[in-house]
Amino acid sequence: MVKAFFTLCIFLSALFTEGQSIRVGAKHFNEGYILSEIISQLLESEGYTVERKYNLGGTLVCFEALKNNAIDIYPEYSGTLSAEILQQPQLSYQAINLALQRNFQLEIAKPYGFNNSYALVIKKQLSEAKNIRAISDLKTHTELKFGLSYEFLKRQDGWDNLAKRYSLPHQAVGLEHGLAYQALDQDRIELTDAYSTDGEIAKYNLVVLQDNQHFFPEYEATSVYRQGIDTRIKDILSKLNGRIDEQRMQRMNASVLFDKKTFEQVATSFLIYEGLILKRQAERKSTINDILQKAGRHLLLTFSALLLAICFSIPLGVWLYWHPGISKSVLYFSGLLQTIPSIALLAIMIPLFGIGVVPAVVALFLYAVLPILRNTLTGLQSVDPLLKKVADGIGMNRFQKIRFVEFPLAIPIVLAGIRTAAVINVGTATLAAFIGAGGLGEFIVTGLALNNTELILRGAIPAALLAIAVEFGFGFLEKWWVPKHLR
Amino acid sequence: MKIAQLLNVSHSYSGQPAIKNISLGFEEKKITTIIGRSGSGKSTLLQFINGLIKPSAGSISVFGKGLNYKEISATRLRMGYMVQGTGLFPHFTIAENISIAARISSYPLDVNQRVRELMTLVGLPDSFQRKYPFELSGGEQQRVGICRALFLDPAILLMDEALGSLDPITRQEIQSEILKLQRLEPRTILLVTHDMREAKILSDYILVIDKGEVQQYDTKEEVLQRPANAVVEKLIEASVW
Ligand SMILES: Nc1ncnc2c1ncn2[C@@H]1O[C@H](COP(=O)(O)OP(=O)(O)OP(=O)(O)O)[C@@H](O)[C@H]1O
Ligand SMILES: [Mg+2]
Repeated sequence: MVKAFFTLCIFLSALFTEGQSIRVGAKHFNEGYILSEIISQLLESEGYTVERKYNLGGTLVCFEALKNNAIDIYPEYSGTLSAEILQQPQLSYQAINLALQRNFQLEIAKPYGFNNSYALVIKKQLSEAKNIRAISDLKTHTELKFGLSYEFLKRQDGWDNLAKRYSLPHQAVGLEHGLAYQALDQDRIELTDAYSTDGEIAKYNLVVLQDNQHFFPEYEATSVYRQGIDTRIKDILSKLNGRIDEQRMQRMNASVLFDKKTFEQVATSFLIYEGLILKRQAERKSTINDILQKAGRHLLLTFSALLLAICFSIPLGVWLYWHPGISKSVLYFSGLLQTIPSIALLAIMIPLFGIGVVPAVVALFLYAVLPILRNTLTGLQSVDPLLKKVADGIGMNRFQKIRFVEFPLAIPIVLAGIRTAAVINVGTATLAAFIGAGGLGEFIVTGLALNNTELILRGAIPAALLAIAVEFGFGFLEKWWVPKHLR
Repeated sequence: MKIAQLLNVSHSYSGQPAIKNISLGFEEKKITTIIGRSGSGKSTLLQFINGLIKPSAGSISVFGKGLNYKEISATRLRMGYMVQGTGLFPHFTIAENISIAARISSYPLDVNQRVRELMTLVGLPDSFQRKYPFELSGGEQQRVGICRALFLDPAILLMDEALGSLDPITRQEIQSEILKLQRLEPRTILLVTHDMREAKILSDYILVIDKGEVQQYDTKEEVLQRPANAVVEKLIEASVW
């Protein structure tokens, strides 16, 4: 009897945790993936279902997502929280935790055990040849070409303030962090920013310049989550406290980047080595299935946005056709939308719609509106005026005129607009990965972050094929739908 | 009682006067030919009647009531209109073009039968029904246009150079069809032309206009025998040889 009750309790609690899905976020760079994957696998080994929201586009996207309850946990660095989020550089770990609790009802775990501070790196040869050991030595070497990651250029604890502190006169060019080492190796730049745990430091034979004026705050890695999260999860996460030191992290980074292990494998080996799990629980998807699944998601994003845009833009186009006075300003406004860079538009979506499919579809929808709207309007306007007169003369009201005469004759032009929108969407949807919406962009973003060409192609080739297929598909649709004498 | 009436009607296209203060009425169930040189204002005058053009000044009444431009659709359904040029809808078949009015108003009778009836009337073979306008010659297209205008059996038929691009023989055939039809079920027909021979054959009344002004408006016989001025004379002379 007691035993039966006990079993039931276990069953129920298992059922309870089973039903709970924990959403783990990750910043889109190598270390971010590894740490998030460690958290995910650890939670899975404890019976949780984990939704992986990787490839989130940078600190603010992750933090906004956490704040807006679009993810539950993600790994972050104390220095980043202090400078970027709390806008008070150099806060102590304790103070950061308190401020997060007070201002955002968020909380951080104890540090994982490594400090991944920002660092400036140059080639060892150069360091020796010019005797540059510390950041302050750079002042007299104004000829050096600085190539800094976009994020570093923007940050509070980044380039601007660093240059001020050390009085550096250099001009810096921005580039993608994943490409910086290659640029350095090929002498296209001579200095870049890096993280002190980067696997490349050893590989490319670089040296970290000493931060002799202690400009960079500490970057202790740890998990951030909402205060109210299940205490059982906090307990599980606390197993990672102090487990990972800098060398460990460098090695893990290096084995993904240079030993071509996947970050899933690296996370698994770490957890097994530490005795935290016995073996990887979840099955591995085959590459083909993975591609198909992501392509499916890609099409879903593209076509649901396209469908919404069609349902919205065509009636709006008709309405504008009837009210030519305002059509100019509406077209101008939707043209303006088109000029917002995709990444920025996606970022704007986060506070409004969180992360995931919804904001991505909304953003894609906004991009698809203009081509369809513009073509609907021009299509209707370019119908032969004689036929419009005949339609009037027969006694059609304006709805009948649209339905029987103007719209049918505008279809080829409208269709061309839809086709343009679809092709734009297939391309832009690759960026949806940045806000956790999935799709083929996952491969591309991960591949860029890991500097893994094979992974980039795994996303880029199907995306290009999709774009071509869409182009042909619409061509075919037009052939089939629009009789020859109207084309 | 005139079926359509113009009172002090003037019209300008962006400042250029096209119709200058015309007042007249059209006789019910008669064929009136509006004749004049190119640019004299014939098409403009015709389109006053079905409200496609609203005159800059003056008033129009049709069927005994002033035209209500806000609810003009219902009035237009009672008028057949053949635009200058064929104006067939390229995306509709011949049968669909002819019966388009059935789609915008409730048509109580058998649509297909009406289409066949009209096509026979103007001498188009049944096999044309499923063709598209681009597959027909210009003259055939004009005959389709006549069918379309007649579909709802309108009380007023407005024809703007409807028989323009027909060969002389077909033109004669259609002309006698119109006359035959007019004997069987007379209706008001306003027919724009610049060909006095056509006016001679078809008209009960002739309205001659030039530079937007009425030169003469009277019965055919009156106009032909006693032309009011040199303009009318010239038009008649031009058709003799
Ligand atoms: N939409 C328009 N805009 C400006 N001017 C116009 C317009 N339609 C006609 N006109 C001008 O008004 C005058 C009368 O034109 P209308 O079409 O009534 O002539 P018409 O007698 O039918 O000539 P045609 O025999 O060549 O068809 C012409 O001088 C013409 O140039
Ligand atoms: Mg004309």
